[in-house]
Amino acid sequence: MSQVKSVVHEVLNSVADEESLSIAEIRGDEKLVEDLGFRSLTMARILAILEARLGVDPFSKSVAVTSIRTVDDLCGAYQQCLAGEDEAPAVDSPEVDQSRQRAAARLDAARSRTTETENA
Amino acid sequence: MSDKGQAIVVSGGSRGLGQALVADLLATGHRVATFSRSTTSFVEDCRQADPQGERFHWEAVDATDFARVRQFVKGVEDRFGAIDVVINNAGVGVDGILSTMPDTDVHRLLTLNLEAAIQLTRACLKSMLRRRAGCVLNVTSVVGIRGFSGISVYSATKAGLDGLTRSLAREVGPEGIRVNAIAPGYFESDMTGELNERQKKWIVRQTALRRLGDVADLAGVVRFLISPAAQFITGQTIVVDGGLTC
Repeated sequence: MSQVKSVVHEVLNSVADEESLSIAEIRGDEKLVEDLGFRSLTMARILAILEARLGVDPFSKSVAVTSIRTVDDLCGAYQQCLAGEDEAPAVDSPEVDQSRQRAAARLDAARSRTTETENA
Repeated sequence: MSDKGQAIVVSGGSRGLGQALVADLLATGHRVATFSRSTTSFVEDCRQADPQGERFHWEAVDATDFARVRQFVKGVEDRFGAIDVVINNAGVGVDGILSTMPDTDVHRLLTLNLEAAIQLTRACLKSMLRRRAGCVLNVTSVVGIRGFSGISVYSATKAGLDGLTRSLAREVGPEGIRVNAIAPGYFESDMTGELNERQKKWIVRQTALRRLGDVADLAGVVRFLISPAAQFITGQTIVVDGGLTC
């Protein structure tokens, strides 16, 4: 296993322990949110830890964090950054569209809750 | 927090309120890193008193040069080991009627007073997220809460900081990070120094405690908000105005 993968897996396991998330041995194709159960804020913490451990931040400019779905995606982003082969993602990637749709759904849900509260 | 006090980043700590806050935080045992575009006699005195930079660190940084700000934050984390508190104090006051305000003034206010605070906070949050602890304190203003003619854009930036305070508090609260704001009223400073005596007297008459504030009035509140005594306070804007807005 490459050093980057080793560090990423170690950090994911460590944070999962702190969050009391039970995850089996990581293969790489697991979705970070849907399968492993990490919340978006926890992902932000994971990225902060990885930046300190690996010394790079692929998401500051070149890689859209919304394009990262799986463990392998995460490893790939750091590997690319370290190799100096970072490329800007496509502006209208399906992942960005899905992220926007999820954000819109969250906003609609929040508005519905607000309406219910006002009508209560 | 180490035995050496908290590691605190203060933007714009070379003069005015920022200088007073830095001086107070150093005197009460904390470690402080601050930046401004240029040095001042206060900064030089602090540097001479601490040539190794163990408790005080300053760099020449333009708050609107966000790459440079990130570099500064990284350096502070390396120097102090962590960042416990960030105080967004840097700001500029530009008054004028909106309909005749130049684009450059509008842009400068929005960039320095609001975006710079957001960028500095984002940079410091990484250290706080890693340790699941920290405190963000935004210096806003009573003019973000009540309207005053001639400072609409400045007011917008301060009200924006209040909004940032509330939403960010909800966002990072689960990780043990608190976010609050302090909204000073009118107090003796470089910014209020341009008020004429008639204006100052009007403000004093409107103030329940019948005086302008002093920076010491604010320093105590800052000390409280960043301390464990305020550990269950987050998402709040504490108004320190002698009762001007009550």
